[in-house]
Amino acid sequence: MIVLGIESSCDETAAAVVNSQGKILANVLRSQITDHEFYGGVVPEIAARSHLDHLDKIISSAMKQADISFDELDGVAATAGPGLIGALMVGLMTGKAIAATNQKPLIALNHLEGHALSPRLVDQEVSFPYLLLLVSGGHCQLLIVQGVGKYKRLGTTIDDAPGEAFDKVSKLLGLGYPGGPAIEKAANRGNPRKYKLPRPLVGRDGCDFSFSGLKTAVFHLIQKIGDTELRLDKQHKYDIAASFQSAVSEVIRDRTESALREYRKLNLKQENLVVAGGVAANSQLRENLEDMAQKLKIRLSIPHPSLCTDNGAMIAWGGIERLKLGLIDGYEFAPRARWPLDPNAGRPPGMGLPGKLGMKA
Amino acid sequence: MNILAFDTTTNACSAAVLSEGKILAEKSIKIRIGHAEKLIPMIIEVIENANLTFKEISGIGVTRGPGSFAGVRIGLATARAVALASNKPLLGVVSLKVIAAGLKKDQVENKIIVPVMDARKGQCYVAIYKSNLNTILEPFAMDFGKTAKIIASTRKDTNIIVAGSGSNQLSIELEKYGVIAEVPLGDHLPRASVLARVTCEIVQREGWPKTVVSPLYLRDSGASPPSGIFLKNA
Repeated sequence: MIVLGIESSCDETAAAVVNSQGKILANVLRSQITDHEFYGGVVPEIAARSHLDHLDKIISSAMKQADISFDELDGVAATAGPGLIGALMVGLMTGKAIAATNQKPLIALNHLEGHALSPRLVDQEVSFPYLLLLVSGGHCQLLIVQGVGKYKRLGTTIDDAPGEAFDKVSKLLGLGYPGGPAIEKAANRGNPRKYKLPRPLVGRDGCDFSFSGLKTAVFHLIQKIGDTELRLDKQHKYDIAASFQSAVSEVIRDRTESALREYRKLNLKQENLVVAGGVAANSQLRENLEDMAQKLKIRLSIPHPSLCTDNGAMIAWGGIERLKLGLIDGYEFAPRARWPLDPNAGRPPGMGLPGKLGMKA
Repeated sequence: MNILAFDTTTNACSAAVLSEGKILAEKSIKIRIGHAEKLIPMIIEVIENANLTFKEISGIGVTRGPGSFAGVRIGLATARAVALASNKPLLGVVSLKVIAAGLKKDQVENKIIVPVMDARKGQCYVAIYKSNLNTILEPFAMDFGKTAKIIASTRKDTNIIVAGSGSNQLSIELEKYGVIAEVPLGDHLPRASVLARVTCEIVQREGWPKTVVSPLYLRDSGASPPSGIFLKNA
């Protein structure tokens, strides 16, 4: 079984060809970092335009790399949400059109499901149900993955996603965009114990996250130690970056430990913790979670950073998992800006009203 | 030659198949949103109704804008993907030209055609064509008032026919300059059957293009650079 996967939910334009043995035949990606850099964050309209400008060429080169024709595909999977609606439309319409032209099944995939199932692409021993920590630029959740399409959310962020916090702190420090790699690089030269930053929700019941207070604390710190123009010297920046990164990593570890206690109530023979999402590419977080896994004796699986950040291979793989179960979608499928994996999970305590449109994810 | 054509640039969604100069199938609906849901089933339907398959399509015609940004992208993403997946050529046509081509021959005789869309924010998307559809002024986005001024100053003694979602507003502005433009009744939205005919004419005259079809937005993304503290530390 061979599936083409298309990803365009945010600022990566990606296509990949994957087979049901988990072999990645092609994985092509174009990051839009340079398109958005100047604005310090992803501009939805620019993202949508850029996807349209590049997606067909990216698919074409993925097909060439995989050395197969569209006719030989068993299905086409495209991210249909959650994400930026204009960006999603480009990828989903492209996927639909390729599927329809060659009379192939379409899988309109939930982007988060792509992340959630991606550990099974590289590690065949990860069996359901497993505990998933999903940390990215747009999301932060702890879920029990019961099976394809079956998720129980244990916790979510009540405000920002950690990737957002990385971006904003990086912006405040003038370290550039995207914030994740920029903060990590600066933090390597700084002292993580130099500044005391808060650890929101650490030690509390439940598995929810909060990062906005941490961001504000960094802002106040800069106001305190910066000059009147809020400028800082390099070492200050490095130390703040290191202190911030270690706070984020400790918060995530604490919340994951709390979720693990819930997960262990299931009394499973084989327990698995998997981590996915762009923030899982952060090496300090990886080390911290590896340390936790060792101490708590839980099997941990974190895909290679290139499969943690948004990519087409995880979408193709998600497509394969669904196709195997006969879960295909109609060509009329509408893209969804908001699409929670667990539709039964409500608003966590402490979170502001999600608005009339409901939970984002 | 079998041409598949479709349009999603405005408050309509349509698809058509033209074969040897005849429209074999057409489907057209008026919708404000939801083009992303309707388009592919519609394309499949017209190809089936024309008793053809995707493999028998010789090439694709699509409107490349102007129009709603999302609408432009829905049509173009679909067209570029169909072209890629079926290895068929693709031609992009200006949506305003399709509006102009949708007017009847006797309606436009000895007149200049001004297709105009309401682009919101007090602006319009507009172009000017001769009655034979040769371009006088390439598409642009501008305030209705300024657009009227330009048309009035250059084309005062010519009969003008204005059509499209911005036609009433533009004709009111034109009147301020003493120009009475003809505004035919009806919606005058782009239609896939007209697009298919325009595509066929262009291809017969010039052949299929070899270049990539790019969107015609006529406006930038509207993004503004960051301000405040974010710049100070940079």
